[in-house]
Amino acid sequence: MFLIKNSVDFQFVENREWLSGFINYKVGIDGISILFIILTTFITPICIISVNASITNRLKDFLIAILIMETFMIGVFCSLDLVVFYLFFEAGLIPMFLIIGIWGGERRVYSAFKFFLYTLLGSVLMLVAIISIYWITGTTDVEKLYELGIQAEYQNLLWLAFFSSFAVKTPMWPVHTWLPDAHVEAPTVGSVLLAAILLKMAGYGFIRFSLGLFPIASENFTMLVYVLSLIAIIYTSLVALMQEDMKKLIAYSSVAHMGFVTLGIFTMTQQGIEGSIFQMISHGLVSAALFLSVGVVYERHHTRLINKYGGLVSIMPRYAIVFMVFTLGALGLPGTTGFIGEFLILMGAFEKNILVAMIASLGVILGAAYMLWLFKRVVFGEMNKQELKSMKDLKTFEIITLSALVIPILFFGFYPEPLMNSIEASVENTLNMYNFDLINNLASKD
Amino acid sequence: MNFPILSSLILLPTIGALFILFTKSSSGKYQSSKYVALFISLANFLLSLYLWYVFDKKFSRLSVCRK
Repeated sequence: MFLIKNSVDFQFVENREWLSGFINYKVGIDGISILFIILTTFITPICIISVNASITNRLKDFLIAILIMETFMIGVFCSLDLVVFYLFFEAGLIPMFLIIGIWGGERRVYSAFKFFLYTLLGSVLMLVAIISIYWITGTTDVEKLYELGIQAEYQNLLWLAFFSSFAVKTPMWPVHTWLPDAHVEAPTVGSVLLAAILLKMAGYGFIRFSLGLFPIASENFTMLVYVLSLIAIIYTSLVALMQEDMKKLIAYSSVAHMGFVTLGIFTMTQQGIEGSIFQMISHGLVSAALFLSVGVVYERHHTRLINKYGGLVSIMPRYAIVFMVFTLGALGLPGTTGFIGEFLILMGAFEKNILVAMIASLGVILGAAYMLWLFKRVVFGEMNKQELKSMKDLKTFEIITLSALVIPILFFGFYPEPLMNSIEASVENTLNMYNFDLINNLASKD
Repeated sequence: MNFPILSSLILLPTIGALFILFTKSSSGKYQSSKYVALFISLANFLLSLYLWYVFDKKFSRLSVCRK
């Protein structure tokens, strides 16, 4: 019996000449990318409906920015050429930079520049790596690169260059500091786009490129990713506990959740990677919902400070119910999508390294602590603040957008099969390819 | 060649954005722009659901062969 290299099979592939002889416009999807595309196309209309109250000036330009952003995000998830991927990946910065910089809060310019510089710095290294790959292999076509493989001696450096870009975008500790600033200053819809879609580009990149193109280096750097992920899970969860600003709390919780994602991907197990993809979809829905929920009370009371709220359940019962579903989704309660992702990731981690899995499990408990505490302080308790009493419950458009998010969170929490079904074969292919390269490399050393 | 469904998914929002850019909305409230954006993004969502529906989920090559 001989193993033959089994490349990931892409469907609906379109291949057109772009820079003649060098680079082709090549797009295609597999079971993993299709889910991210649907997440993007699902979140965008929700953002457009929510624009209603939060954006008062230059609405037309804001809508244009959102639509252009959608184009770039879909482009990222279906590019099958490294240069095309890089173009979409970087171009996505522009609309987000504008959304934060023009429609953001008081410190919007500082936050927009911080966001831009952090992510650009990492990405420049990725560009250098892409150019190197072209000179090493003669192509930037992802499918061809999967078949050719990249020589082992180049992989470590190239992996680090891609990692620098994805780690900032994920964001992983210690390069996560742009995220809380960007979230706090961005308008509600900007935060939703940022948390739900933009962060997922990096997780997707890890699976498609780090694992796919540099398997030997990925194996070498596994411990590094484990350590950074664990610090992200534990440290940022503790930081989230201390936050007094609701948006900052959710931003830090995002870093912790994405820590689970990177941990799961680098377990290199079927469960771990499937769990990470599921966790990304789940986080896309839950964090979008949480930011919209914060937006609801911010528009009414014009503050995000947790201690300015309390007892909302008595005046906003509908809001209390949906906010509870999202809180439970974020802390990973069984029956919500959050549980499936974290459970699979921990299963994968236990197979590889029990200590890592045990430390990561602590993150689940901390997650429950900061989310439930947030919920308690905002929704429960006595309604003793006079200025809150005039707050009205959810409006029609808010009910539409929030229930549109409640449905998939609960549905896929109880019945994850449609999503798992879609990613199973593609994850299996990715892992086969990964293991093939590792075995081949060991064989060539002997 | 079949219908380029992925390129359509990528381009549709940009076409919508250009349409919004070049249409003048009356009364300065831009409500019509919002409906255009919503319509385009919902159309894109339905197109992606269709893509998921026609996507072959078990599509994979054999990884083991005998020599």
